[in-house]
Parts: sequence; C-alpha cells; structure tokens
Amino acid sequence: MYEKADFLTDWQSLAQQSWDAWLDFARRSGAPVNESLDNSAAVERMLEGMRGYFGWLQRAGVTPPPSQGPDWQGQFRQFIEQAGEPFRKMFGKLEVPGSEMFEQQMKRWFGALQEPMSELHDWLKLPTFGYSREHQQLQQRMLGAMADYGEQLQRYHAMMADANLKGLELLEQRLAEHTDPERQIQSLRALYDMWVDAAEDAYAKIAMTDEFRQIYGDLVNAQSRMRELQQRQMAAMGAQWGLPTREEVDSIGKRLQEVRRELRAARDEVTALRDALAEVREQGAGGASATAQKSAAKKAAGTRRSASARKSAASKAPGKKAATKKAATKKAARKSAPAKTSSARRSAKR
Amino acid sequence: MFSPLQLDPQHMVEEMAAFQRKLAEGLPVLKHLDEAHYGATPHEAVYREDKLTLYHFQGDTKPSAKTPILICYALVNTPWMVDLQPDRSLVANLLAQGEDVYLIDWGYPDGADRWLTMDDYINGYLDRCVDVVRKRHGLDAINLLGICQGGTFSLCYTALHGEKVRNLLTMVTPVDFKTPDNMLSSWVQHMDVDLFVDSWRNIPADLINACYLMLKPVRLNQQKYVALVDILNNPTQMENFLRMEKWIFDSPDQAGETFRQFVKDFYQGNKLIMGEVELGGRQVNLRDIHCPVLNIFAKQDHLVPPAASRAMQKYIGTDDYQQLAFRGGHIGIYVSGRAQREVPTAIHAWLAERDH
Repeated sequence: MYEKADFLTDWQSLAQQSWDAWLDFARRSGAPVNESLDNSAAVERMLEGMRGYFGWLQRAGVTPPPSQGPDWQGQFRQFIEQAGEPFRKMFGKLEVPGSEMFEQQMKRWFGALQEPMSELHDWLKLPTFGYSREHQQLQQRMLGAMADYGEQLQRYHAMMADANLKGLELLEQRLAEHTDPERQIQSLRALYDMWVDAAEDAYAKIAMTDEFRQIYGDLVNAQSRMRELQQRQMAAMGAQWGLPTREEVDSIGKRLQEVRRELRAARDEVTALRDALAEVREQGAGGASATAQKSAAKKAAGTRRSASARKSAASKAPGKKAATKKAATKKAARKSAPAKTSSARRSAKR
Repeated sequence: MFSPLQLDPQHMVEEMAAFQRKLAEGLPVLKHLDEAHYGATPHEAVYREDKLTLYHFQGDTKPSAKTPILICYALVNTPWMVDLQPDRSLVANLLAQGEDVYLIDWGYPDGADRWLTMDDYINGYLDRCVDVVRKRHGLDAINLLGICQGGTFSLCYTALHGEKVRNLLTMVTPVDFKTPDNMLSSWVQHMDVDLFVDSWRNIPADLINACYLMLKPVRLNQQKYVALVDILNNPTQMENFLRMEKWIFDSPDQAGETFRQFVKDFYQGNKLIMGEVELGGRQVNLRDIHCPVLNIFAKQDHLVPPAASRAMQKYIGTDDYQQLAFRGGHIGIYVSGRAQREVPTAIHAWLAERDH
C-alpha cells in the first residue's frame, strides 16, 4: 500500500527536481555553452510556460482529486479551488503588453497617496491658477490618466477572471461526460490538456463579445493616453535642460521623408522626360511622322499633368498626415516612368 | 456514479517521474543545439533600398517558367516562413517545379522609418521591386504572389498597376476585415489608433506578438512548452521547434504611419471591399483587377479567417478567379507536410495553364 506521507514526499521531491532542472538549464543556457543567445531566449520563454504547469502539478499532487461517488462535482470544485490557482494567476498575468510596468508604477504611486480615490478625483477637477498653471494642469491630467488606467486594468482583470471561471465550468461539464469507467481520466497530463481546451474555448467565446471589445479598447486607449502624457512631461523636462526631444526628432524625420518623396518624384519625372525626349529624337532621326513626335511629347506632358493632379488630390485629403500630400506628386510621375522605359525598350528593338 | 478522474497516487508519482526522466534526458540535447537559421535555399540580393532587400533564388536547374514570381510578404514577421528549412520550403518546391522566384524582405524598420506610409510601401518599394524584376527579365508584366498582409498589399498594387501584373496569387489574405469570426478585427474596433500610434510611434514587434499570443493564450503561452518535453530528446524535432520559435519572435517593428492606415482603413473602416482605400491620391478598387487570380486560404486559420479571404471573389473584377481551400492553419499552409505536397504543385499547375 502506498502511504500518503510517502506519496507527498515523493511528489514534492520529483516536482522540485523537475523545476530545478529547468532553472539550472536556464542558468546554464545563459552561460557560453554554445554562445547562442537565441536558444537562451527560447529557454526563457519555455521556462515561463512551464512555470504554471509545475505549479499546478505540485498543487494537484497535494490536493485529493475527486473520488468515486455522487458528490464528485463538489470534490472537483474543492480540487479546483486548490489546484486551480496557477491557472487563475496565468489568466491574471495575461494583459496588454507593457502594462506590467505600468501596474507596478500605479501601485507605487497610489500606494503613496493617503487620500481615497474619490478625493483624488475631486482634486483632479480643481482649476489651476497662476504662473505654473499649465504645468499643474498637465500633472493633473497625467494623474487622471493614471487613475483611469488603473480602473480599466481592474475591469480587464475582472473579465479575465470571469473567462477563467467559465473555463472551469466548461471543464466540469466536459468531465461529466467521462464518468463511465472506461472513459475516466487517468493522468494529470490528460486532465491538464482537457483543462487547456476548456479554458481556450471559454476564453474564445468571451474574447469575441462586445464587452471584451469595449474593455480591451478602453484599456489600450487608457494606456496610450498615459504614455502620451508621460512623454509630454519628459519632453518638457528635456527642453528645460536643453536636450533634443522626441518631438524634434519626429519633425525632422517627417520632413526628411517628405523631401525624399519629392526628390524621388522629381527624379522619376526627369527620367520620364529624358525617355520621352530620346524617343522623339529617335523617331525624328528615322523620319518618323509628326504624329509620333506629338505622341511622345504628349506622354511627357501627361507625366507632369498627372503629377500635378495627384498633388491636388492629396492636398484635399483630410487627416493629420501632411506627408500624403507630398507623396502624391511623386506617385504620378513614378507611375509613368516604367511605362516609358518599356516603351523606349520597344522602340530600341525596332 | 463514478468520478471522471481516476487519479491513482502511485500512478501520479510515476507520471511525474516519467516527466522528470524526459527532462533529464532532453536537457543535454537542448544545450548542444546550434542556433536556428532559416532561408535555406541559395539566394542573392538583386536590389536594395533603405531597409528593403529583393532576393532572387537559385534552384538546382534552370527555371522552365517564362514569367517569374515575386513574393510579397507581410510586414509582420520576416518573410522566411516561405523558406524555413530545406524540407519545409515553399520557395524550394516552387523552384523544383520550374518556377523562377523572387522575394521581398522588408527589413526591420527603426525610428527613421516611422513616416513610411502604405503609399510608400505599395506605390514605392513594391512598385520598384516589380520594375527591377520586369527589367531583369525584359517583361512588361510578372506574376505576383502576396502573402497575408502582403496579399492585401498585392491586391492594392494590382488594382493600381494592373499592367505590370500578369497573374496574381494570394495566400491567407484578408479582404473583408469584418467577418464575424475575426478576433483580431474585433479587438481593434474600439481602439483609438491615432492615439496608439502617436504614443508608440513605430509599433514594437513584441506588442504585436503578445497580441497574437492572446488569441490562444493558454495554448500558446503554456501548453506548447509543456508538450515540448515530449520531443526534448529528439534533436531534429527540437531544431525544428527552435527554428519556428525564432521565426515567431524574430519580428520587425511596424512603421507607425503604415500601421495607422492599415488598422484604420482596413480593419476599422473595411474600406478595401468598398473601394474607398486611397493610396497616393488614387482610389483602390478591386474591380480594377482583371488579371487571373488564384486565392489560397487555410481552413483552420485563426489569424485570417477563411471567410475574410473568400470574400475576394465578390469584389474582384477578373473573370478568371479560382480559390483553393487548404486544410491547415495560417502557418501550416507553408510548413506542414501536406503543404509541401499540395500548395507548390497547385500554384505551378495554375500558372502553367496561363504562362503561354
């Protein structure tokens, strides 16, 4: 007879050995075994993926699984209550990327506040005055954005917790189809795989709802707003210290890209004109008809007209991207250039 | 009534011990694997511009096809999914069929590329690559094969520059961005894309990858690594796994302005099927596509649902439209064993009928 005490000792020891083996390997993969950073990064990801599974295994081992009898559902829920924690954590951890850093910041900032959140909201609504009113207002807005982000994150967490709960309910329903002795689940791995299937199916259903769409969008937008305001703060500080700011770099990049488009458009137009001229000369030298000369000249003129038309179209286009306007000129000229090249090639063959 | 779980403690310990054994046997294998590489088929760079490189592949024999194929991949991920390893390569199999293949590698955008628009990519980079291939072969028009987002780009390009595309092939290409089963599309509908791009500028690859992982969070973040233990002692399978893993996470950032337009006009506005996308001052109308079109999609695609691709036939102008439904997923369509047998031969046969 396998004693419970022996089982627990063996179980904990094996789980620990497995996990230690992974950790040891992860450490060594960072060392110059094969100098491969890529493999090391892959191991890190594997390690993260395995962590939840090992946690679950350890808990599953010390929690009595449901035994025979009519109350297996009750025991199953108890089992889930104990062994399901790593899964709950897993869902809880799956957030909008980058949010972890923000969340830690939030905890620090709001932890330092003595006033409850309602008073914070009141304070954020106060008008600002005097010499530094613009700075105060920016700080208020940033704090407001951080508070909003915290609220959106809570909504998101609640939704993910609900997805996890639905997954467990689905698992219970599916397990009910395995009460026949021939269909019983006999390994932890089989139970784990079934759990994953149920969790994914429940999540997929929730992830397609309007509620998810709204909450996800609100969270992303809140994070973006906070990022933007933080960057404005940083830019203001940078400007005070005489440092070049992100805005300046962006402006330079934007202007440079516009100049590149204009340059290419001009270059394409010159190429098209040269090709057209060469065609005219070639046909003229061969005693070509006046119609052919007119045709070539018309093509060259078409290039200029079309470029100008696109520029005009682009200038009417709404939006914040002034770059589009400049690009139009280039497009028109560029489009005609290869056609002329082909045409010139055909002429040359003749 | 029996419990559905028959978990005998001794069996559980044995199971854990077996798991531990597999780990112990497998970890030494993992330690000594070389770094994964892809791009297995010999190729040479024939054109470079900014971060972009246009590659030409060399097969064992001279191509028999008269018209070369230019592959236009998505901006998301690197294009080497089409040439992952020698025995999993769309490119190698097309070459073996006698096709002549070119591939655009868009490169890794940095801050300087933030202002690249879809117009820059499609009417600029892509158009110039097409011209390079046309010039090298002395042809007025070539075959264009667009993949995923690159397929959408290819559709836009063909609608605007139809005279340069002899045959258009698309693989796992979204056309209708608002089909009811499109999870990605659903998630971005309420996003303030302007604010998002303004705050991130270029969109980091990690952000995009994390978003993709959230489509199947437990399976992709945890279960696949648990299953890894089963193949840990098999060097070949581990090499394949690591190569794929590298490809998944070795991703370029997205140029901010292109991301802005792609999400706003395509995912949120669904303007492609309405003929309202504007590039370089010109309307993109799928009805303007008159060349033969072969549309290949994957039946189990969770990124681009089949319905999103199938929609093409409703909006495209050509009379010569065919579609091929492949049994597999978004990645399996390139790397699965069935894909190696079915997809390149289908492409070659379809082109051969039109390459007179």
